[in-house]
Amino acid sequence: MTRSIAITRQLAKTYGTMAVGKLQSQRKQFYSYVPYPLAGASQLNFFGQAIGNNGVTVEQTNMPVQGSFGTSSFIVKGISLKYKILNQNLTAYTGTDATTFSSEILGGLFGAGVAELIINAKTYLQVTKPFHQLPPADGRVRAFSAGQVGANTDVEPDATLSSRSENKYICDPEIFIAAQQNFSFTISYPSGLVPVLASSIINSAAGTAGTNTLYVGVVLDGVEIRPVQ
Amino acid sequence: MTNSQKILGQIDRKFGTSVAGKFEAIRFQYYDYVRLPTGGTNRLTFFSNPIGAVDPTSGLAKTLEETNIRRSGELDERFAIMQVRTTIDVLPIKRQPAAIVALTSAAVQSLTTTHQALRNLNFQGVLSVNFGQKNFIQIEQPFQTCPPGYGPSIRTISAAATSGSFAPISQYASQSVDPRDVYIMDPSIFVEKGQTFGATIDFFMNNSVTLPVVTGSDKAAVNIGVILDGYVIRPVQ
Repeated sequence: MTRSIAITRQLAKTYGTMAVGKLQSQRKQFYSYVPYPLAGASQLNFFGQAIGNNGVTVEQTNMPVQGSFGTSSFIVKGISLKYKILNQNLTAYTGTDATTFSSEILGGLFGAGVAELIINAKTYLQVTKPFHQLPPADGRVRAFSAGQVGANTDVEPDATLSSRSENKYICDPEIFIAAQQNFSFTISYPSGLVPVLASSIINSAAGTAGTNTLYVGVVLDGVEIRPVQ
Repeated sequence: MTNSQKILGQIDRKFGTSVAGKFEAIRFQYYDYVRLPTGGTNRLTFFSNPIGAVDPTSGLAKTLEETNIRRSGELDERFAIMQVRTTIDVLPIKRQPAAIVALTSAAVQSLTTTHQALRNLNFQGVLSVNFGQKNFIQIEQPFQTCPPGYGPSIRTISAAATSGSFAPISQYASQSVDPRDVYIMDPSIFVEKGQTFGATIDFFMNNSVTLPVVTGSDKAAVNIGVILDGYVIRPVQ
């Protein structure tokens, strides 16, 4: 052991920055959201940016470093794919696909794609239509209404990705990702791009700040194992 | 053990390419989607056209979105089948024929008659899965017996009418989205790597449904999928 390590350990013991060799575990969700381009994308890459990279904030990701969990190890127990958008009622519903976000659920971009989780060049997950197979399952908000307004006017359709907790995708056995281990999570569209359908609602180019951009994201739910501090 | 095997074993241990004799099991799916002929068919064949091969009905090369098998009728890892799912998937509107893409209410209204036909499809067919010459799975009405167990949460679907007429009714047919309804293989079926197998859905009594015209002469593009959910057993690396 070099002298500098001994000194560092003494300092650590005295000032309590961490208990060397001890680990603690806690439930944790690591998430990563990326903007969905209006014209569609051949591939979306998640967890490739850490907080602070290119203006990425904690609303988009809580990754400490790019493509790994840094000094923490992580046990992935469940995976959810989600979306968020500032305003789902940007335009009044007129009976068209373009004027309701629900059209994306019924026949839009969420019905395509293939998700892959790759750790150290090995495939651990390969799932088609991942927004339906790996749904949010988070008891998400629903819109209730009295139904048809009158003989001539319908209310806006109400559809969302599965809100039922029993639909949660469980990794069983769980997937262990070691500290500093690089991994990638992608959703690709090799059968062709899927442009947005609700074009009067999702109306801004990917990444345009302050406008109605659709963000799609991946949430890895599990147990974080990190040094005791 | 020959000398070369010994050397390889030592290299393996040192540089970690694999841990000899150790295996890991991970949850995995093998899946295959085929295009439903719009005029009906008496048989759909699965797991016969791998990635890159052309789907005989759509005429398009299959990608990872349609299948993840790399050789016809074979799995590339040892696999234990725990669940069998079938899916009826209307393709996203933007992947439909051009005339359907051009409709303004395709998702919220125009595919109603297609969904009515697909509801009828749920009552048809027999799923058979054979390994070698032996039948291991034979299920009637597979779309209802082996539903996907996932899908969106939909409360209402409707399209506003033009002034002076009653609002049109929109319909959306869905297989069960409840994971409790998924068909469980108990005991599970173990498939050895390289074992030949095949899956079909046969429509013996009469052909599968004829899909209605949506607009012009275009009918909706619909894929039928079989998903085998279970555990891949592979060497630890």
